[in-house]
Amino acid sequence: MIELEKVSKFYQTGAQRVDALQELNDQVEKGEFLMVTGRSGAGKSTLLSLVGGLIRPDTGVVKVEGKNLWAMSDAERSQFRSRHMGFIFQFASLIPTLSVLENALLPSAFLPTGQGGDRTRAQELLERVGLAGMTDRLPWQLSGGQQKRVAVARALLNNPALLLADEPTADLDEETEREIVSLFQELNRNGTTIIMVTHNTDLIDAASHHLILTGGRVARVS
Amino acid sequence: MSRDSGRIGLAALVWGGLRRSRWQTAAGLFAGLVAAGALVAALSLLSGMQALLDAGLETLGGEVVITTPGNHGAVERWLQTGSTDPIEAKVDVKEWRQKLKDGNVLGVITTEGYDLSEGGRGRVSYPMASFLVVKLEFWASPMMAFNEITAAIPEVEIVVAEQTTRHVLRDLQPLVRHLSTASGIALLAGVMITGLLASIRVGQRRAELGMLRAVGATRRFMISLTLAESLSLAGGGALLGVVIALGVMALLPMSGGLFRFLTALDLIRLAGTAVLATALASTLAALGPALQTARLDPLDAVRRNR
Repeated sequence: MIELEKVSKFYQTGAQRVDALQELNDQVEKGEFLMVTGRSGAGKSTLLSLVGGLIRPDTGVVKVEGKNLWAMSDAERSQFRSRHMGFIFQFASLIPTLSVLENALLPSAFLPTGQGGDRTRAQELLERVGLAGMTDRLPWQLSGGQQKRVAVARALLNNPALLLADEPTADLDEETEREIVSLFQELNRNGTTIIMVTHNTDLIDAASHHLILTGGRVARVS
Repeated sequence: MSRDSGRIGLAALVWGGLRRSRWQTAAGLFAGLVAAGALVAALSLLSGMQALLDAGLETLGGEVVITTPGNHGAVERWLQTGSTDPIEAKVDVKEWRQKLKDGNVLGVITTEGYDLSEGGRGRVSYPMASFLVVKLEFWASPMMAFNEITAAIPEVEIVVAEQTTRHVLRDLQPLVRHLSTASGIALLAGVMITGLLASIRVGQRRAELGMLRAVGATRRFMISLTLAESLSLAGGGALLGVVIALGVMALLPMSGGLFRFLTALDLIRLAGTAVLATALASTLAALGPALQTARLDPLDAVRRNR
């Protein structure tokens, strides 16, 4: 489903060049649950951004569903992302002036009418993450864990085949963390491919594959 | 994309963005208000003065006015504004016409007496009048007529329309300069505030904007979102500004007097120009922050801007 061919990415900070990822070759098969760990600055988030087509690799090719992301125009890539990928961030990043339901509906705004998830699906997803009856609330009326669950519902709205999660359980209590990981496992059992970046090595067992990054290179795959 | 269909569109996001901070929204509206208000004030005063000048000369219907001594200023005012203070009707129209005839003043087409004994616009009058308006042939020189009339009727005071026009224009120059400077400064300040506010809004919402980019917003959408917010604020403020500026000016005696010489269409055109200029300049000022949003690295933005 995902192919990375000699993918490199560096950042220039003043006169210093930081190699975030160096000639990374990897494949993620459909239905995998890949957990990515590594120390800060190892290139975990860069990897996620590259797979999501959010940043351009300096060298190499990133293919998702057989398509080279950077052979597409920005509009095509954005639509492809909206249709095939769901993002969950370290922080919920909800829009405070929109209701829970409206926040969950956001990804549908970027697909042609009828192609994205609708209000009914958003309500179903919110119910599934335990937020039934809270759809009209504003984000500040929810706890941190509840906000994260809205972000999960938002990521799933367009029924993406690939879920990209950047430290989704950071900042959460253990119980909410367990709930989120259980939800990911359930989604994975239903066929969703998941790549999750985390610092928490206790969560590794929840995934089917584990990739450790060190200094922009793959240190170990299990 | 309306909210009824369950989809969140650009309009809903713009509205949501504007509701985020009341002081920023108020400052954005105020910037547009001041810029457009100053602009429409300057434009309408300038247009009003031009129209007033045209109206004065139309009212004149002639190139030279002859009156009794001591009325020069009142006659000039009548020429400039079409209205003036009372001037006693002491001119014997028939007698002065005869003197002009006897003095062989060249190029005279008509002479008409005006009674302004009650002030205001006055009315055509015979046999007594406050002054005599002389219309000349196109080839006749008003200054030559001035000399010939002085010779024919030595005791009169003569006002030449051309000179009055020059006086008015010369008197207006400093005012025009000050108005233009003031409106330019107001517009520049408004535009700078709009740009600064757009920059603050983008800075404060980097995480949200990054999230929008990640869930499928194109670069064009990101730019449109920031520009639409700035346009809404500047445009809304500008609309309020032109209404307030024109309302205040209509109530003030000096500017209100000028407005009599402008039609409703003139005022709408001037207001439209001020609103469009303010909205356009403000949108351009927000272009820098808007382009920043298009270059956001979403994950980085979310991580660093919780």
